[in-house]
Amino acid sequence: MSCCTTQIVFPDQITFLNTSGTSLTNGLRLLRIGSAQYTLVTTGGTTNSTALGGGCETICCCPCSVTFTVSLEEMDANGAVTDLSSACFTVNFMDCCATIPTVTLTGTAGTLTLQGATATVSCTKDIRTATILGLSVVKTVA
Amino acid sequence: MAYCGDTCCGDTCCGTQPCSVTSILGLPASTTITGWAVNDVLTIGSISYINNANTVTGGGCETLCCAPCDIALTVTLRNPENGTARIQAGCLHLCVTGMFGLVKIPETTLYGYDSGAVKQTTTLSGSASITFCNGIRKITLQSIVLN
Repeated sequence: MSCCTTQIVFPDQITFLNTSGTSLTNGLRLLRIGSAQYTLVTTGGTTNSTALGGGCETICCCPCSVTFTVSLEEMDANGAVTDLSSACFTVNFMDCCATIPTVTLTGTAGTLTLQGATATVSCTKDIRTATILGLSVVKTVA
Repeated sequence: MAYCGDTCCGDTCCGTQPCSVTSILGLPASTTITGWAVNDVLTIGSISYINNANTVTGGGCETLCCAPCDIALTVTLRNPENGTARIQAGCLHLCVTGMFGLVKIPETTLYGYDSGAVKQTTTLSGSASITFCNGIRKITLQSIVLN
């Protein structure tokens, strides 16, 4: 069984695109993708917002499909977690290209789609590095 | 021991070096983390610590298969404020070329924003020891300093 040391680098910033007209991000606590974590800079209400954070992973895989759990926690005014939804975030490798399908999270606050991500891939002698770019979250159902 | 595949990128191929099974162990129980605030939660990879009234609790371990050098781990420092967990985050690159001895954890900058959208930064550094036994490399965190 062969495998290749691969590093996944998540972006420092994710844009929350609010197309629903309702509050998307007030109360958002944490968005996690694997070990990467994000929180909001501002509570954007019905407008677009930005979450900052980031992270990275070291894995070993063949030309492969790498999956991470992505989860979202939201919190009400009393500090209680009101929404916890999760799904699988997948990065598919084919040679030195990577594709990232969209991911849908369904929870009590609605349906959120993680989309728009691309990745640049570089190879050194020992390590393949995929840097994910352009990740955004869209609320499609209020 | 696992070996890399023949994935190629241009004229450079990944896969000429074997991957080493590497265990990362959290801080020994007698050590502390300096430079952080009460109730801070520090996470390195899947290893977490909390500063509860200046008593550090937590720990953990994880196993990777990686090339001889450059392990990447997510580092986060959470600062709960007003019921919302604000975080600072960064990527720790640990470059390990040998099988024994001490390695310096490189300075790693974590950044985030507080509830007033003011940028906050913290620098993490420290040291780790390396041992090698029965084909498994063990990296044990020895000290962690936050500034």
